Amino acid sequence: MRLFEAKDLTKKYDKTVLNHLDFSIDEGEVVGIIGVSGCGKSTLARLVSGIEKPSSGSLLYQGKTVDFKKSRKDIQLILQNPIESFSPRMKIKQFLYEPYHYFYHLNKKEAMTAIKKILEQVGMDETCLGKYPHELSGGQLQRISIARALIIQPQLLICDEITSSLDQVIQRDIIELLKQCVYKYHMAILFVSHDLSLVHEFCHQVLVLNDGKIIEKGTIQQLYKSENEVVQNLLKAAYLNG
Amino acid sequence: MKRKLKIEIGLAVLLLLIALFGSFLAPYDPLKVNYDFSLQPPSFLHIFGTDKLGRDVFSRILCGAKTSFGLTFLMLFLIVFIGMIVGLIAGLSNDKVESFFNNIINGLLAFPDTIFAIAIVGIVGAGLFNTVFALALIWWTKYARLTLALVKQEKKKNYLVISKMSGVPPLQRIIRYLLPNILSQILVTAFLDIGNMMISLAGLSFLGLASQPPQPEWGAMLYESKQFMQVAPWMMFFPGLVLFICVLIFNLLSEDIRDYLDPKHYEEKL
Repeated sequence: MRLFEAKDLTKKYDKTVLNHLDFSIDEGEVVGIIGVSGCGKSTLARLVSGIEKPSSGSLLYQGKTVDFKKSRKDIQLILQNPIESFSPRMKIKQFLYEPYHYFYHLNKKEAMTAIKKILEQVGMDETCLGKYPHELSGGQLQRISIARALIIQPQLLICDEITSSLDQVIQRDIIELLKQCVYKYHMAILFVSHDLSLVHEFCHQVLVLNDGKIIEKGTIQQLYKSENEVVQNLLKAAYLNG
Repeated sequence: MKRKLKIEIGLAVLLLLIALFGSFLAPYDPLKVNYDFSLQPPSFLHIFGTDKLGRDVFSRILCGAKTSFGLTFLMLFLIVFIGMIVGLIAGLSNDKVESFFNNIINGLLAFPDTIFAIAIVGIVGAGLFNTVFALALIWWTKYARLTLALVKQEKKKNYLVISKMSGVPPLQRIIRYLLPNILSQILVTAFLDIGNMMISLAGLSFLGLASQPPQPEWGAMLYESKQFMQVAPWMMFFPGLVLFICVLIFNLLSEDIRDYLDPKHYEEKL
């Protein structure tokens, strides 16, 4: 069933960053957005998550124009640089308690039990709860960001380059974790990355973005057959990355 | 908490206690004139000496602390509060509102503060509260500008986006996310300004515009002592020394408070 749809989506700042994009995401589907730096991937993630408004075009959630205030729980976002996603003056337990408090109205005691379970799922233990973000590594913080998303259990999770600042081993761990999320919670994921080697593992559909336009769309197997130069370059880079 | 910070806090608290209870500790009435003891050098009877009217300098310093500190903190509270409110409104609003406040701030900053204060005091009349009002009228702009810059810097950070994603309402995002991340810099600036303000107030008292005789106030005491600088240097030395020590303590305290409020910075220094 169709979960999310972008129709004729355009975003302009001083120049046009996204140019008349059309795509859709089904329930439980993993869609990869790839492209070189500056092609508009992160802008797309910000539009789909409702952080920014499109200049024109429409975004539909379950067939209706999306109201991000109402759909906040259903559409969630994890961002690139994990340390910047955390307030430097807030301990991890407070960070994870927020969604329980505001979405589920749980008190701290009830939330703590649930937080510990979620942390287990993302491979972390409760010792991190009393720590500040700078006391944890990038990989650990990204796991906690995923834990936050799991607490909310959105229908659509947007991952904007979430592995780009992590080493390769941690990258694989994070991908595995996301795979489990899709399998366990039937969550749809919009996975934004510049690295095709990461998306090929678990994306059902891949959109290749270049200069704000979708230049190729299809399964990873279909992309392998593409003769487009940009796609070929991304494939070569992915091969080199292993 | 670091030992140095504890000592500095202890000294600052001691100064504040002296300011609050100085009049009870004073060995003599700070206003009582006694010409028999006029311009007495420091002795066991008058450890900081006496002034031209025979008043005990030590007692006047103790009693003047309340005025000097009270006014400084009143002014600090006023300018930080007004500045932060204006800075937050400007920083969180659209470009037009920000530009409006920026123009006001720049316009007021164009006035030299002391000259402006003298002009205001000249219009509304000399006196402590008039001076505080005149200085506050200019100095809030510094905090408005600082808050605006900090808000604009923090607004770009991802943690605010994520807090929105976690369902945190706008006002809570400001109170629990934005403010704690800008407050340490504002507090440090405010603490650093305690010294500047005390000196400015003392300066205006020195010009005879703030504290009026016979009220004891450190700046006013320096003003009164200038005619006797060569014959009774203690009249200038002790109020000056006390002012210097207070400014130094608050300047040192401001640095360490900044480190303490920044968990990352604090741990790196340990």
